[in-house]
Amino acid sequence: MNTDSTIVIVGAGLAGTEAAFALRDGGHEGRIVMIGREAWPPYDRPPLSKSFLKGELPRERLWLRPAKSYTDEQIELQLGAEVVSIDRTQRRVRLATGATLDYGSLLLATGGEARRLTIPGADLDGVCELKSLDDADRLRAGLVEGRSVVIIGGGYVGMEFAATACQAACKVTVLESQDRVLSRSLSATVAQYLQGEYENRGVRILTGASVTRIEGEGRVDAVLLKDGTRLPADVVLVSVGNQASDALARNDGLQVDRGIVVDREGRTNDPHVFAAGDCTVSCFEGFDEPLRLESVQHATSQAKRAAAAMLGQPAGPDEVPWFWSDQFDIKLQMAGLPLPGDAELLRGDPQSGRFSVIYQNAKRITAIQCVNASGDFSAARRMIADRRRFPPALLSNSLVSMRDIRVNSDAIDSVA
Amino acid sequence: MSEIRIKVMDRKGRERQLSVAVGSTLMEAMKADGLPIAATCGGAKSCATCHVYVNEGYPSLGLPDEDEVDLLSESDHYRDGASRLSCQIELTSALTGLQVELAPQG
Repeated sequence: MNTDSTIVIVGAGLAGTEAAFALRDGGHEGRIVMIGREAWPPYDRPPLSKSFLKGELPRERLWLRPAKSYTDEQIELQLGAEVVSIDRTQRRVRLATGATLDYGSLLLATGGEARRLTIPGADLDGVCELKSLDDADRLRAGLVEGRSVVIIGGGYVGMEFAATACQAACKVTVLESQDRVLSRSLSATVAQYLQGEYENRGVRILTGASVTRIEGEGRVDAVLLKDGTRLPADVVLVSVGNQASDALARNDGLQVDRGIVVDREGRTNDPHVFAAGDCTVSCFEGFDEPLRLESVQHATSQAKRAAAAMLGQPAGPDEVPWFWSDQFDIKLQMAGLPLPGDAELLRGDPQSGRFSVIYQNAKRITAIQCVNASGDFSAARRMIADRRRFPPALLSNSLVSMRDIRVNSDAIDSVA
Repeated sequence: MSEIRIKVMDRKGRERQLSVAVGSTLMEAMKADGLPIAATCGGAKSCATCHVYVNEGYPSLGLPDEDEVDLLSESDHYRDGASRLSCQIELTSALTGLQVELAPQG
């Protein structure tokens, strides 16, 4: 049987699913086989820490596409199946069952996996991570009024979970090793604002915290810090970041550097192998090292671009990366990637609960982080894509809308 | 659960009739029917990838809020008096006969 036209997709998350449908949309007529490790149909992850966890969103609304779409588009789903190795010479993948599948092109969309803690007690019952639907199901059962919830790691997943647990009337403590939460991705101004909002709502945040041990007999009882603090805990969430699931690629000799190295259209160093989503790293202007972006938008856009590349078609435009996070009633929207050394401009007053931080260098505006300021976000996405520089005094003036600044101001192309 | 009938035209000009449950959003109903709608942010009003043109029934939807207007008006495909984010349209029995069209992507 001719398998040259078969496309095998390893991973049935967002990137894999978007790519599969984009391949059909782009006119691919051969087989498309998507192999996923989890038993669930491809689902949306962002609600896992928010509306799904709260019980507001029924499970079936998590599915990325209805079952009939896969049938209609002849996308073969192999769920609960694991690829254990790739043979690039034979162009063949091997599954845990021993079965093999030959491919013409391969797309790796294996996503990321939660980093684990190696401290004593990390394997106790009640110590959880939040990456999959099964994780969310387990955690949901623990969010009972009055329970003590300790969150190790103040990143997005940790903070979103903290907000949800707080809304469920749990006693919530967030432990962060850095001097502020969300330090890897947010400006100090935004992070401090958020921290204050959490504290106002009764969430305790301990920064500079170093966890040494989790105690309990079979089940978690308390979390111990280096300074001797003992925090009683019924539920512990470990949210210390994700790493790329790149073992398959690494074992087969594909280029890997904290993720599968791809160009902006998902090409690896093997012309028959592509990769997209959280498992990849790629180059971004102004950065010496390839970056790994973990976001819905990046996974979606990269999957579509990779699908075009697999079909030998021109890719669509490379979007400015953007992200969002909902925490309590606070809407965070971010676009672009700030470069080291960029000037930070504050637009609006944090006290008002509606403001933005804008990053700009001598050449262009690079990024924006908006708190309850959708108008700033929408206009700034285009301003960043336009690669222009704007008068700082104008950007900082929240009485002039970003849209007006974008449309009416004569951009400064370089510093005089 | 009560259902209403609406019409959706996809980007290839094909029209389909949908019977959708009231209570969900138009975005959810279209996704559940397999229409190619990205809805990247899942209804959090953070993108404009569920953008539709409302060709029949626009006045019965009420007015979009400021965030929605901000997102829509920055789209290259914005049409005054027709553009809406489908994630912000909650389906009620009053919306039977609604006719929408998927806006171009990007």
